[in-house]
Amino acid sequence: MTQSNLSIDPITLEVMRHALTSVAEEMNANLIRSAYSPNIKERRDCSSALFDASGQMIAQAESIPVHLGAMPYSVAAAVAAVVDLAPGDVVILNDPYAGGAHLPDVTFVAPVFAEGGGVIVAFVANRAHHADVGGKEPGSLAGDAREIYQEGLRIPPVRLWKRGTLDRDLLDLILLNVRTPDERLGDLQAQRAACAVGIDRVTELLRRHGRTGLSEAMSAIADYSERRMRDAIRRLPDGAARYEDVLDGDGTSEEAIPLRVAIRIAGDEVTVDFEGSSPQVRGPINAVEAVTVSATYYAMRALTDPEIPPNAGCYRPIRVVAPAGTVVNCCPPAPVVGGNLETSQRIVDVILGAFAALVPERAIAACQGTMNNLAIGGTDPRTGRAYSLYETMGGGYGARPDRDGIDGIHSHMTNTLNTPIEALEIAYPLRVERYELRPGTGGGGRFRGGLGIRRDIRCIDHEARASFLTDRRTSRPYGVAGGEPGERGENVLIRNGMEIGLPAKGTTFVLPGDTISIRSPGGGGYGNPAERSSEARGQDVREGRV
Amino acid sequence: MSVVIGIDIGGTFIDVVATGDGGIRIAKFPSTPHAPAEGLFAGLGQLIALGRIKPCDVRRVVHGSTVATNALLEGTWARTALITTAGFRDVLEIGRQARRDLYNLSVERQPPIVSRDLRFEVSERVASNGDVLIPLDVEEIRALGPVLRESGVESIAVVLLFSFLVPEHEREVKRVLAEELDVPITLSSDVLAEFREYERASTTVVCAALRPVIEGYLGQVEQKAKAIALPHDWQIMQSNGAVTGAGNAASEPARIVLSGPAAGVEGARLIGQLAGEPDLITLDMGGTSCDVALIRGGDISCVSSGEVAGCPIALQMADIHTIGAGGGSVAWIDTGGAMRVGPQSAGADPGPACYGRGGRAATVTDAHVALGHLLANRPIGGLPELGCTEARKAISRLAERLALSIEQAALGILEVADAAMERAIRVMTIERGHDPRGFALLAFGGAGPLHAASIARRMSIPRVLVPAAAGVLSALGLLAAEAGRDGSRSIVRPLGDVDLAAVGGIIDELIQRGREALLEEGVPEKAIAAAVSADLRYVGQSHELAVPVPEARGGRVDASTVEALEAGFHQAHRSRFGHARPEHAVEWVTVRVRVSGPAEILDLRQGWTGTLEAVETVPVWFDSHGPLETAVFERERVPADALFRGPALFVGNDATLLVPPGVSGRCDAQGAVALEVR
Repeated sequence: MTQSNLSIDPITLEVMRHALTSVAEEMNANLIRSAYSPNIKERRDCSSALFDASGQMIAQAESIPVHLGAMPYSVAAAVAAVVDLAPGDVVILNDPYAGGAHLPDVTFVAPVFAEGGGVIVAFVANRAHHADVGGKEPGSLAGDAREIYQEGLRIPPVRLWKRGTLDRDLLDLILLNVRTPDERLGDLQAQRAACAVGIDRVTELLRRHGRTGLSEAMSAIADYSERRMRDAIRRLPDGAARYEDVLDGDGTSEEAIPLRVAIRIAGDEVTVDFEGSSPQVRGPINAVEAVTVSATYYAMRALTDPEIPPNAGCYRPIRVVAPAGTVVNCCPPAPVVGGNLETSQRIVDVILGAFAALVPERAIAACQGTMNNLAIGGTDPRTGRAYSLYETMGGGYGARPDRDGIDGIHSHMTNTLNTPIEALEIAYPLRVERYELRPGTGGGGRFRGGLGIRRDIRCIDHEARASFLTDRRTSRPYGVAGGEPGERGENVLIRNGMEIGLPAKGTTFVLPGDTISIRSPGGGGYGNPAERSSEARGQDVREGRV
Repeated sequence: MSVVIGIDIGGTFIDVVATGDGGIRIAKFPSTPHAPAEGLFAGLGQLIALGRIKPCDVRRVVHGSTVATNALLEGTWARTALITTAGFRDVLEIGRQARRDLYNLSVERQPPIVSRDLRFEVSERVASNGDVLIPLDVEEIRALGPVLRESGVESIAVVLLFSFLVPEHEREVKRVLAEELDVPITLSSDVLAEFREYERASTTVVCAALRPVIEGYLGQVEQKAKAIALPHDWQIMQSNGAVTGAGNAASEPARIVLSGPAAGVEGARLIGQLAGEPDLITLDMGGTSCDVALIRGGDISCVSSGEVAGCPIALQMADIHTIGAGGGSVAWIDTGGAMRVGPQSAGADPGPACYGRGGRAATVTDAHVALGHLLANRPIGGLPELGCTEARKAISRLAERLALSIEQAALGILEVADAAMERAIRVMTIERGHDPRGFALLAFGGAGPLHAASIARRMSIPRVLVPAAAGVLSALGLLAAEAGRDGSRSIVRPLGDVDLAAVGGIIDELIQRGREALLEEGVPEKAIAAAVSADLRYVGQSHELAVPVPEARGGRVDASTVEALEAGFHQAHRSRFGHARPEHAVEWVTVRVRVSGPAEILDLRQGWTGTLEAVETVPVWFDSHGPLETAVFERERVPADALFRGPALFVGNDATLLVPPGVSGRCDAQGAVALEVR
């Protein structure tokens, strides 16, 4: 390519890329380091980003893809709602209908002013999943919510810090409406500290490079990512494809909910159109547009070049069409908590399903397609105190054109860690009785889908409530190129040795001695099962995987 | 009997350093990676034949070895079985259920060391309070004997749930199986008596799988050492920067997987100590990669768990961050039009273009040659003369595409490499909450001293330290290290509920175990010291902070200990994370003990004398304004206390130090050069 169209030279470009990426990474590292709750600190359910003065994202650090590309909505909402931003202001928000994704994801946005005030030169933002933001169920994961008001406290974009001073009244209001105010306060302070780190870093860069230098560098980085993404898309063959898949129901009914996508690759641009997807539903699996966009960006990064720095430019060649009022772009007051968790996974499935026809060499069979969200809450008989456990669970990874799917692992939009069994049993009145792979659950194929996981948790000496937000309990993760679908998952209550099937989404009472058994789906297979090599078959048999 | 020898085996060279009879002596010979003991003893034999080592004078031999690391990387471990609690044989495989790469659809999970068909379950269960829910069935275990024998197992790991509370079940499994077959049996309650079953299992399995390998290697070393009348009870460098006896290393090889790199950091610590710099950022830049580590308050910054060759190991190890930037890193223009350096490397063959072995790609080393930082007639490490023409030619191809001069392009390559290293240093300092401006930068490795001053300047690090023996720093580290043995036990109880007598007993036991090990290694009883610390956290958190247990030397733990720990924890939490919650309950997760013996007192004085005189002046490019006439000094003839100002080049056998204009420096009695960077 020629260099004449670059606003800054290739060397400065690379040096500034390191510098601007460091801003996002250092914010995120600081957030993880100073966070109070395990959800942010250990599971790293958070991300941080840098934006230019016009709200274009310039750099992002994330440890789970579900935050990818969703934060520009937060900055836009903050700027729209708070018109007279001043130095030292920090905006908080979690409303999915005004810059958020689902209520537990609380986002901070702070402006960075040029020295002497007056002009905004950049924004910094970070988002963290809080373990509870109120609502009808502990953990704010009400699988049976009917409207967003049941899902927890809704915070529109408002200033929690004004010119550097904490708004105590607002803070008190927030903390009164959540179950673990202590922990929340610790995490909110960590988010604010991370903003401060970002502001300091941008201010340093400003001193070093000047306003013009910094703003040129920021646009240059976005343009750079755009060029790389266009180049990567150009390498894909032009064409169009459609795909359709379903979610197992919204928790109010088990009627399948269709998601439809049409993909068009033309030159160096891609259109991802969800026209024809289900209207929004009563239960909490609606996705706001930011979530749909995140899932789309995830799929595009995975299909093109994951090394392209994620920023506004990277996404310019990607057009997302998500009709309002559908399950992929819902309107208030639809409940949304599972949109981020379950629907986002199926959005990825349909996009990758469509691409499998267009780019067969990069095709992948469906991964488990759910996060297997489980929350168990009750009173710990050992201490008399309330507890709430929230877990997600891995499952089968989809088979690829040259290799099997991975057994028992998180896929696509999440990558959070499990809770060690010994840590879980010390902290909660629960006992894990099995944690093992589910032989035979991977879809057959020349390459086999990954196996699901079984995790059995027994409730010791007390009654509890267990909430499920899971999927692929009826439908199955698809196979590709003749591969078979993965086995569906199951939620089971074991009482006195009897297995009782539970729905994919909902809440159940658990008696002392009952066991909750979550069995996650297997991944889809790739290619004709008859073509599977005899060595691979032999190994499957020897290792008890089939 | 006063000589102590340090032997560090790397991928290309074996470094031998001897001390104890005035100053230090250095020897270097080629390593034989596929039969490490052979090259080692061939070299030692020569040194003895030449009279450079007199076996009868040698009191102690300390060894840094990559044998364990290589076995892990190459998968040349023993056929190993794992015995687990029923229902949990897949814990080793599922791990923490996370994938390594978020966006790569071709992502793979590294297969666990023990395949599924060699993972066996036994019915037994201990609860989180230590109650035995299901007793062990001895007959069931005995029945495993023939199965294990038939599957040709060479080593066995036993990892049962809550064995850190109740080790008896694991011990019983070992007792029964030892009657059935004659292979080493490794218990998780011996290796790592801590909670979190996956990390414990992974660590135990690494130990079990490497035991036969390391026992074989160290057995060979012992025999061959005996044959040449050297002391045969060698000490081995562990990943935490302390040395241990060969027997301990062989039975718990997971403790030595970072032996080589830890020795380098320990060497850096020594140089810093001698130069009065307790806080160091170490930058070890070689041909293909760059390692960054920290020394804080004179101690190596360690982590309590890490990953080596994809295997989680939950043992104390030096915290080392590696990036793909080295002398051989290749510069290229990517599809977005940015100049990138690395991670591709020209390696040793063909190597950078200037090596004249057919390499065409422009590398960092070529940029240094083109700018006059590396002098063609003074090649390092026994290479032939460096090809200035080839270097310029390689860079000119890149320069043309960028419409820059060769020197501008070369300066650009270095700037990009520096930016990548700055980011690595930021990860180790700023992201961990430390201000790099409070540290000195200690640079070593073949390329470190070329970049040190410019990186320090970028990051406002005020001082740079470059050791004299930059090429054998790891071997020096072996000599400088103390003997140390870590022990731990998880208790996981709220601080208020801790059974103090029981904890006192655990501390006694851990200290006693460490003491016995050190006595066996020949550390005098009086010299043995013990440090006890507590891993604490707020109830509900899942990360811990280590807080020293005051006056626990005698194992005495009482109410005042608990009070001090609580106060210490709130303070540590505040300083590390910026906030504390004094009203919140604190949990005591793990008891840690480090039993140690003193380090050798080292005298590194080189006895170099004379005045600082330039051997020549050469034109060197520092920026795009043109070359400066620059004085060239011989690194090894630098007298103590000599002062100088940049621009200057110090040319040594294994590295060149680049001193830009505006930087002043001095040499110390140990031969280290300190630069003041402003």
